[in-house]
Amino acid sequence: MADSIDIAAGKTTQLVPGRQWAYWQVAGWIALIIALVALPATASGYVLFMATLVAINVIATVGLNITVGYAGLLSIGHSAFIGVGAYASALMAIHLGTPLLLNVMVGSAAAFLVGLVFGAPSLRIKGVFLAIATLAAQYSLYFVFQQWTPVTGGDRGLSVPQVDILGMGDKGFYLLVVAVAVVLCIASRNLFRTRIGRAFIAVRERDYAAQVLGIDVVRTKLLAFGLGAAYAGVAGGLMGAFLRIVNPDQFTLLASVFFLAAVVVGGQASLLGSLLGATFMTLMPEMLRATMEVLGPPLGATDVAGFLSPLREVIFGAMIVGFLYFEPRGLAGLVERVRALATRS
Amino acid sequence: MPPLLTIDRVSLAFGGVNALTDVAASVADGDITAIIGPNGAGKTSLFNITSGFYKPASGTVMFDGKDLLPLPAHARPKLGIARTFQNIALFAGLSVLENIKLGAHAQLKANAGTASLYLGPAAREERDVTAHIENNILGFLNLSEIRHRAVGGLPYGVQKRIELARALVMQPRLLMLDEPFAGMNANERLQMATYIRRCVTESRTTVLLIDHNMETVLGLSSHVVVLNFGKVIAAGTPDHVRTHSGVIDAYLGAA
Amino acid sequence: MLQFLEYSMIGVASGGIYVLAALGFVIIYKSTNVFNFAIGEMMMIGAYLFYAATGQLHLGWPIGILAALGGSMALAAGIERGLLQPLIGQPTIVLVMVTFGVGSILRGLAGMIWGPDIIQMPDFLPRKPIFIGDVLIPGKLAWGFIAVGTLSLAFILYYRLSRTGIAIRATSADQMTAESVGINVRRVSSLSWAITGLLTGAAGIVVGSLNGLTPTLGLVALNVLAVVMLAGMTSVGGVVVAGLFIGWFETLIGAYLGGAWQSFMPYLVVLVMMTVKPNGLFGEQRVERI
Repeated sequence: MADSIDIAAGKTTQLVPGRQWAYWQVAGWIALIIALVALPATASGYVLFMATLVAINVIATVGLNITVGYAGLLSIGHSAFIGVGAYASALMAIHLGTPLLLNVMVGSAAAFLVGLVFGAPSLRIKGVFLAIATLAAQYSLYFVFQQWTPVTGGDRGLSVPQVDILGMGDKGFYLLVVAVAVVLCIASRNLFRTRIGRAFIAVRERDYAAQVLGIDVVRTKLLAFGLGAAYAGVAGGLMGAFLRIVNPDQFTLLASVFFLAAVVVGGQASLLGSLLGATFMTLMPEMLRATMEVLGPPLGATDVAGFLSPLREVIFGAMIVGFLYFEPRGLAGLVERVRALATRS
Repeated sequence: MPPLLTIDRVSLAFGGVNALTDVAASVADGDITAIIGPNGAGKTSLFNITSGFYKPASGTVMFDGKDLLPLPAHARPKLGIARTFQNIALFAGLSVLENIKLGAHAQLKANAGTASLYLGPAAREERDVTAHIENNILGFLNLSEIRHRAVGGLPYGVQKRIELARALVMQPRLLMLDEPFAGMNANERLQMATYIRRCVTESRTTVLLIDHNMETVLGLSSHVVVLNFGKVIAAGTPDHVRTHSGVIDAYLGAA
Repeated sequence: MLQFLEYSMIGVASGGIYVLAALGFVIIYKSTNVFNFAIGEMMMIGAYLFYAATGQLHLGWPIGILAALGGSMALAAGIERGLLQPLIGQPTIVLVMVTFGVGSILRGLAGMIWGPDIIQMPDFLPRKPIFIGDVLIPGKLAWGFIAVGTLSLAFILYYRLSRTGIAIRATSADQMTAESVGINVRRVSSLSWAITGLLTGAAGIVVGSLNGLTPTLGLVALNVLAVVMLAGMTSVGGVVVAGLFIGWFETLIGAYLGGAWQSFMPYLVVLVMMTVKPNGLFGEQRVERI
């Protein structure tokens, strides 16, 4: 209960839009969906690849934002749960040949359950302890992926059979991923129109006051964490089928830093924030690499790749620290400021 | 009629310091009962025991014939116990309406699945509870105009009303108010007293309230319990308490 | 039996390093309520600073130690002053996220400056093994343990007896009361970070000398977390016992069950402790007032 300090003013989830802004907002979302559906008609293979990756990362980020942003529980092992979803789903595809959506659902359920195994002990105590438990999950699950060779294929990983959606190849896969992402975004939005989402926020802000309203704090935290892991599992299942390979190096601590940065950069407790954060974080390393390739490796470094990996660690970390310091509401907060300016004039 | 809430021989200590010693008190159904006493007398500790935040070292707390002490805090509201806090415990990240809706948490049934879909019953119960609040609560407590505002910057008196609204949505049988008049001017106090009285007459709610200001409370309540240094020093009608020598000493001594 | 004794001695000796780092973790938690997830990276930077001074600038080890300890103290104080002080009043989760971000930055910086490959530190601890009866302890480890043990002891005495130590303990017990009796809570926070910088820097130098130096040296932080969970977040004395135990236990598991199980041990300890005894073996059960 010592955690229940007054929350940063930035975490206002209920915006109070003017009517006109509401129309613009709806129009904006519709335009975005049309653009997403129309994209494959014009885009190159590379753009389509990146767009699919963004959509998958959006799913994982929306999930982590439920845990970290809305419920205020720090998970620093998100990529491990993505990994659980990826392996479970890939194993289904390889050994049972079941359809992708079923595999993804099983992957999601597996991530949810594994999440509970790591979350339950720590969430009984106090929210912050989840950070330690998820760090333990990060390393121990990585270790399982790497060492349980008969099942996971060890360091080489698993190669996942190709999925062809409606005979449309990459475009079909892209459209499927976008559809799943849209559905899950709407689902997470719906959550916060009901008692479930309100309880997450209540527990984040004042757990003792939540209790006198009849909210079971431990169960609520578990649900918020489990849902985040379940979203991660979906993202993992899609990721494996998309890249057609699942190996331990996709699920490192750096990947978890990546998703935490996506939540913080985009904006905690905001759906728009998850979208912006995941997009920004997915494209940023690409731009970084492109810049590096043009400029050549910096002094002292012999190859671009060897320099890029630690540079990413620095930049992802700096994104987390910098945004918490200068704009705790993230990119969504910036959008909100622009809106405030626009509606005032 | 047996009392709705019976506190019997309750003792509580923090690290060797006795916060409450053998406290006994009862709250009659349909009444307004007040607990008064100087700061640090143990009033809020008694609330926290009833809410389930503290476990007393000894004693019993019965609500409507049920033993409350084995129940976790979050199970007690379902029996019909609601409370407010001395320092106002609203959720800054939510709007006024959403804060009040939280009072209905235990009555609503949506689970993670139905909430994500937001179709059928999950959407309907949400609309129903909103309508209930808008029709019966917001107008009564004069909060309709600000229902979509964030609670953060609202004045103290308004926040107290929001917290009362949230407790009322729970349709409690026992409403526990921790210093409902704190920080209010005379006008606001009068208004708050009216709200409390109407809760009792119109919704048959039983009220247990804490205050350290005798005068406000004595006019409102029918039964008064006086605490000092964790012990009950007097209990009875306002007139009885007003003239009780120990009470006068406690207040003069404290002042 | 002789082998068991040898493993045990080696284990306990390496546990000393965990004690030192865990003391740093606990001291920050006690004075500021923050989980410092950069603790491993602070160790790593201390080790690299030592390497930079001795291996790269050839300054000799006494200066190397001074430079490394001074550098890590400055780094820790800088993190506290520059990043955490301004965020006071924010929810704990924000502060913890910042330490996690800082850890990532430090790891990346080390990779960019010194590269990903393992570096052998210049030898400064005597290599000559030490015999206790028939039991052989590698020289570096023995001397490292002596250094680490001395520092831990000095710190604990300082913590128990000095005014600063008392101020830290008072702040941990009740920040408001501490403030009201004239303790400067902000200074206590800065000071505990600086002390942690010193302790982690020293622990880093010893780990680096024993195992070599890579940017992922900070992973030992997990063993440190296991120590802290076992001891209870708040118990300085408990950390000593738990640290030595974890070192011993880990080495035995590694020796008899293999390296795979050894690296799995810390997580198991963490999860089991959370399930069975969340306040640790020596932690205090706090009554939280509302």
